[in-house]
Parts: sequence; structure tokens; C-alpha cells
Amino acid sequence: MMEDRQSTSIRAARGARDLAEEKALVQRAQKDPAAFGKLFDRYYDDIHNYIIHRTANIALAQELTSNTFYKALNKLWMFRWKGVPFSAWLYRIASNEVNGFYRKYKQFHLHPIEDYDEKLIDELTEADREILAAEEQLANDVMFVELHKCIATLKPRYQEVITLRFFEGRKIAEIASILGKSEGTVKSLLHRSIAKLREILDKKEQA
Amino acid sequence: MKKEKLIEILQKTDAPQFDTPNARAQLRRELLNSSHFRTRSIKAVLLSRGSLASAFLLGCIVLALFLPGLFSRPISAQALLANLESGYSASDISGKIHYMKTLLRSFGQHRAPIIEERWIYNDYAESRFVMTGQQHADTLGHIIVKNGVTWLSPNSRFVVDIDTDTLAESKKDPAISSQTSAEQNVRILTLPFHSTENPPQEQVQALVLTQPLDIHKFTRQVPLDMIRTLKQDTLLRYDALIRDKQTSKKLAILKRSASIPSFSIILDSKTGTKERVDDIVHILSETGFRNIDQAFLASHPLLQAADIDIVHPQIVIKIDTEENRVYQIIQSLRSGKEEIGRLELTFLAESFIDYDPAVLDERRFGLQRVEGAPQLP
Repeated sequence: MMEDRQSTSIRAARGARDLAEEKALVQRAQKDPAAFGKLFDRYYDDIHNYIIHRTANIALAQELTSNTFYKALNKLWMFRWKGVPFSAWLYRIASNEVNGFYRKYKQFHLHPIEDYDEKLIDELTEADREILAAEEQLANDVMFVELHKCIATLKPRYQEVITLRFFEGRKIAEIASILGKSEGTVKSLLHRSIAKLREILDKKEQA
Repeated sequence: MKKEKLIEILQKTDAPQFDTPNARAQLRRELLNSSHFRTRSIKAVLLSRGSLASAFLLGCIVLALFLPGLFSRPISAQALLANLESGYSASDISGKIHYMKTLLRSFGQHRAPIIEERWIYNDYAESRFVMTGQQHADTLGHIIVKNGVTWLSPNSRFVVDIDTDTLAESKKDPAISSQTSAEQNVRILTLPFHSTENPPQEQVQALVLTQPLDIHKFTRQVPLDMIRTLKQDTLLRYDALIRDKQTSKKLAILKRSASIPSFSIILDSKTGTKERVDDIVHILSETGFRNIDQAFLASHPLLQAADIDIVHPQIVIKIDTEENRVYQIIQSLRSGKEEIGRLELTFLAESFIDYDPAVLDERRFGLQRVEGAPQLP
């Protein structure tokens, strides 16, 4: 019991120290490229993967990830430290980017690809090849792709909670801080989104 | 399905994780070199001797790169196509099997790239098609057509559509259809629309393509037939001569853009889709499809009620100038600055081989005879 309490307090102290260190890094990142680079390195993969899991489209995710970090850089001066991890703020920007994209392009079921004119003239770079390999990897993950097709028919707020909870493995408290909602609201959203997803899968099975 | 079962499925689904170090490094460089972190004044940069010398050197390099391109610039698209036609016509194909290998990639429609091999003998009197997935090399379809009789592999994803007498994908959505109106000079392509509404609405997307050029039929033609079609097209323009660094090919680029806009219309698929699209096209065509903007779309009750967007299709033909062969044909669809869809047909190989009955022998490949005969091309 004593040891449990000790380890809990050690974890809490470490968490507080990490947050304090991150706060200092965010403040420096507003002017110092090296500090921003550290934040970028720390969170790029998480944000990139989250956007892929929301869109199931590598080229689109590439574009929206780029938009997310550009917005984060340009709005960094507005960021006020409230004890919430910087990653939560990044996830919120990323979510807004994905939702905004679907609002804007809801009339098309086609997705934008990379810039066309550049693509015609330039050679395939290493980054292009990586994207092609990632597209292949995604296409091979049949279970995820099929599940994503059903999730993609839900309202964006339901898609957000399901993706964060099950694909990103976030805790309810973390999702609450990302979405700026209470834990109770997140639980209720999660409950409703699972119920909606069940309906869709049932209909699909019947069909 | 029980809630617990669904939660179990969600928990067991390992979302794929992607690592793209080069793309990450590229974005990192762009961000850290962005104007946000530029603290040196523009004046200081402009006046520094080093920068002036670099700018001069850069200017010289740019000139050196572009001048040879300017001098070797071909005259016109027509001249290039005429040159291509004579090149293809010069091949002596009598008594030979025409072999071609192409790659078809369609972006934005959740369709995997397909590699197709074709063996054509005596102007399609006998022909064989093998379609494989680019990623898995699985055979998607194996078809032989000889004198109007068709044989298919038992598990073929492609079938002969008896209604239209054409080759069609067996998994193709029945909502996909096309119609062409020569009178209005439009091609209307109706596609299933994956609604993001909840509950999902049964909707279709009608693409009204003005001044159309149907590149889908190019996938069933030999290059010589394509070139003859392209030669008749007055919207095709020579654009550039480039060196493709990936393949090292020297490519001439032809571009085709319609002078008037095309349209995307989202409609309820429950009733009278075709009639509603026809009515909308009729209203749009009264202006010759010109001068149509959001104000115009809002001015008419029928247009106002429909979900219409202005889109711009573009076709790009890449010609390998050293081989004098078509390398790639791309159809791109744009809305504003965004590219929203693309179809790419790449010619990977082409040769003429001596006639060998074994190449076109349905028994050798275990194909089964089916009713109907697709019209090829």
C-alpha cells in the first residue's frame, strides 16, 4: 500500500515536471526554431497517424498534417498554458482541420491529391516514395479500411471520440482535454457513437 | 451485433502506424525556415554581397537550364501528334501479335492500381487481357475474345455486360453510368456519392463535363487509335518539354483544358435523377455554359435547390520524345485550386511478337466460355 502511494506520487511528480519542462519549451518555441523543432519531433508521428486514422487517405493526411503544424506555428503566440499538454492543443487543431476539410468538400467523394503541376515536372522524391509505400500499407490493412468506411459515415464529433479512444488509445481524461469537454460529456459521446456505429454495421450485415 | 462485441472489435483493430521520416524531415525544414523565424531584415539580406553573388550565379544556372529547352521547343501539339502517328504507323504489324502493358491508377475513388497486359491480333479479331493488382500481383481478370466468343477465368473480377456488350467490373457500383449529348456537347457521368450525412443519404454525384474527351475509352484502344482521336481535338496545346528525373525520359507535355467550366451536381438518388440532371443541364446550356457563377446558380429556383459546384477538368498527355511513343495520359479534375480526382494511364511496355496460337489459347489458361461478346475496343 505504502509502495503504491509512493509510486503514484513519483508518477505525479514526474508528470508535473514533464509539463513544466514542456511549458518552458513551448514558450521558447515561439521565437526559437530549435525549440519548435523539438516539439515537432515529439508530436509529428502522433498527429500524422491520428489524421490518417481519421481520413484513411495518406496524401490527404500529409496535407492536413502540414496545415496543422503551420497553424500551430502561426498561432503559437496565442497559446496560453492552462496545465493541459501541448499535444491536446495540436490534436484539437488537427481535428478542426479534418472536420473543416470534410465540411468544405462534402459535395465530393473524391479527395484532393498532391499538387498536380509540381508532380508533373518533379521527380518522385524519397518522401513521395514513402507516401506510396504508406498507401500500399494502408490498402493492405483490410480490417481497418473496412471499419473506417463505416466510422466515416458518422458525424465528425462521433468519429473524433472513436478514433481517439480506440485507434489512438487515449484515456477519457485525455480526450476531454483534447476536445475541451468534460469527461462526462466524452463518455456520453462515446456511448452514442458506439450505438450509431452498431446501427451502421447491423444494416451493412443485413444488406 | 452486441455492444460488447463491437467494442471488442474496435479494441482488437490495430490501427496501422506509419513512419514517414523523409516527409517529416521535409515539413520540418519548411517550418523552421518559414517566415515566422526569419529575423534578419530583408534589406540586410538584399544588400549582402554574398547574396548578390548567389543571385547572379543562380540566374546564370536558370538561364543555362532554360535556354536549350527554348531552342528545342517543338512547334505545336499537331506537329507532335503527326510525328507520333507516322512513328506508330511505320511498325509492320501484319501477322504479328501486338503486346501492350499498361498501368491504370485512379486516385480518390478507393480503387487499387491495375496492371493490364493485352495481346491483340488482327485488329482485335483475337485478343487476350490479363489484369493484375499492382500491389499484390493477384490476377483480377483473364479474358480471351476470339471472333465474337468470350472466355473468362472463373474468379474474374471482370464480366461481360450483356446489356451494353462491353467489359465491366463485376464489383462496379450499379449507379455508375454515363451519357453523352452531342447536341449540347456534354458528357454526363453519374457516380455513387458517399454521403457524410447521418443517417447516410442515398445520393449520386453527376459530373457534367463540357467539351468532353472520353479518356476512359483510351484504356481499350491502341496508341495509334488514341492519337487519331487526339488529332481531331482542337483544345489540345503543347505545354513544355521536360526531363523526367525518375525515368530519365525526355517528355513533351500536351495539355487540354476546356474553355468553359464543367459542373458537379449532388442529387437525391431516390427518384428521377436522370430527368433532374437533364433539366439542370438544359438550363445551364442556355448560356452555352458560359458566365456561370454562384450568383447565376442562385438566380434560378431549380439550380438554387440543387447542390452544384463549378469544376475544371484537364487532360495531360506525356510523350516520350526519344522513343516517339505515348508515355502517359492523365485526366485531372479540379475545384478551385484543389485537385479532387485523377485518372492515370501509363504505357509500361509495347512490342510486336510473332503469331503463336498458344498465346491466345483459352484451354491453356483454363478459361470458361461465357455468353455475350464485348465490343473491343
